[in-house]
Amino acid sequence: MEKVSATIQPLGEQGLCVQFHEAASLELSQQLLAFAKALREAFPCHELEIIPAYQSLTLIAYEVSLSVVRQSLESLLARPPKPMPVGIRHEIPVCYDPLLGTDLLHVADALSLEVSELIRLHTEPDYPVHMLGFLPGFLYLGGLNPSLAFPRKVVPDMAVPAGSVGIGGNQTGVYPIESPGGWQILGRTPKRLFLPDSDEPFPIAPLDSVKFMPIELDTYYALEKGDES
Amino acid sequence: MSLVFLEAGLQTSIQDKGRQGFYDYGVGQSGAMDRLSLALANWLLGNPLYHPAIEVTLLGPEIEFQEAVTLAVTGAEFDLKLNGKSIGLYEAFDVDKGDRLSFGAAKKGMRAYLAVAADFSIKPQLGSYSTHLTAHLGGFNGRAFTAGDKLALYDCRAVDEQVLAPEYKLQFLGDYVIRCIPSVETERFSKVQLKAFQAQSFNVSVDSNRMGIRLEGAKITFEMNDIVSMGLMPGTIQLPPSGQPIIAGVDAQTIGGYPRIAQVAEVDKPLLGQLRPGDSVTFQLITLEQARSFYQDQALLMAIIDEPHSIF
Repeated sequence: MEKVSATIQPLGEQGLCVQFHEAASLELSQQLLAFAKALREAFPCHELEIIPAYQSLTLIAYEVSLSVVRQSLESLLARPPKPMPVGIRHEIPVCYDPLLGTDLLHVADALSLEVSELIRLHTEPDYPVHMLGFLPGFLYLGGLNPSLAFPRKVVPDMAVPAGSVGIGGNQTGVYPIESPGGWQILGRTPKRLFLPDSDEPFPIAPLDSVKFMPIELDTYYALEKGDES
Repeated sequence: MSLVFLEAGLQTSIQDKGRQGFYDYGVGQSGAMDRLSLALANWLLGNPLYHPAIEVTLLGPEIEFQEAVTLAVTGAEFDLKLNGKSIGLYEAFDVDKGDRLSFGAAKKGMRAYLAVAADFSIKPQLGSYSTHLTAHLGGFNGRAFTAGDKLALYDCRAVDEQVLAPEYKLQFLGDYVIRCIPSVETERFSKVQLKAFQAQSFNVSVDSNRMGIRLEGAKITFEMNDIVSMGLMPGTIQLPPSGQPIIAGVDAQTIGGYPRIAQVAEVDKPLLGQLRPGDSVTFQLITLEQARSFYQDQALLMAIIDEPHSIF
């Protein structure tokens, strides 16, 4: 592998910020997550926090010297590990009903789209997962159709329900837990993306992909009642 | 054996050192907002320094004990009373069955830590006992206490009480200089903007909480539109378009997209847990080397309590 170009900057006394020069892409995420994996193999969780994002790795050292981490990082950058393969495709049922998707009608209206066309465009792609963050189990997805980009709310909602599926700027995603939030809400999924008591608290991983499958309101309620996972 | 919350207080929750290793799943550290006070409370009882304790915020709880146990309270200056009689912070004391401990309102500072010479009957979640309030994770059913809650204790221990020299008692006066070091975008701010950041004193907003401390002052005008969302850690000072800084707290989101104007030095991080609405804060930029040296000095305090020298 060729050397990967990145800038390493200190972030406080215990942190490093590694910014990659390449533009954000699925390929960059695959490379960047390979670095994250190699670092995790070298430093366990109680020594080093590793936060991958679109174009960066943020490292927080707890019980290890930052210079040791930096050395290890520099040698990885000089001889990069093989990029991580893409993961599993998850089908996520989403009910696009104005009852749950409280912003569906006005977003369609503002974009001059029929509601059915808005749903078609939103359910069309396989969205790659670049990273998790913001909230427990929140997925940063790539690949939103640019024609669906929509500004965040000027005044964020105090409590967006868990499972809400929305658009904020040029991103789309699912609120894993109830949270304040400024995204435009198009629908809701009965699937839980954060299961703190399960053996697998986070069912979806970076580099997996997500496909939204439209469901009717009664199916939504049945799934929500019957099987919350 | 248990303790019962007759009154819950404003935001009373179980906290320890926090979670490690889940940032990349969107779960931040949580844990005590003022780790130094947590460590001191536990030290007074001979507990491990980051044993889970009860974090009390601004308006404290009233607690009834159903069995004898030894306690210690540190941190913000509350009007602590045992059965209506004043009792001091920073010293271990015993309570008997039926005793009532009340905190009242904090006169100075924001948070106190009630350590108990016993174990709480709760399970860790994602590797920690600390309550992550927004994620409803850990602690007592993933939430702050409410009136009527009963927290079971076990393994109540007789303790070899430690005495803290008076000069080590922490004081919170409400007017602070917070030392910080340059962060990733600091260099991209102009001299004028960085001067505006350091020359004024900001007020701590009522909208502050464990996720973030919001500050109010003369707006710092700037433009920087190309920040790509990336990892955010407690103590990072972000500057949103409003021009009013926000200091990330222990429950902050794990990824942020606002420019980072500075990073609070480790030595002053515990103080963040004591900032209360209306307090005034001035920032002072120092170098990484200075920050490390100040931290070593504080580590001396930890050294007298002969335990580890990292409170990260």
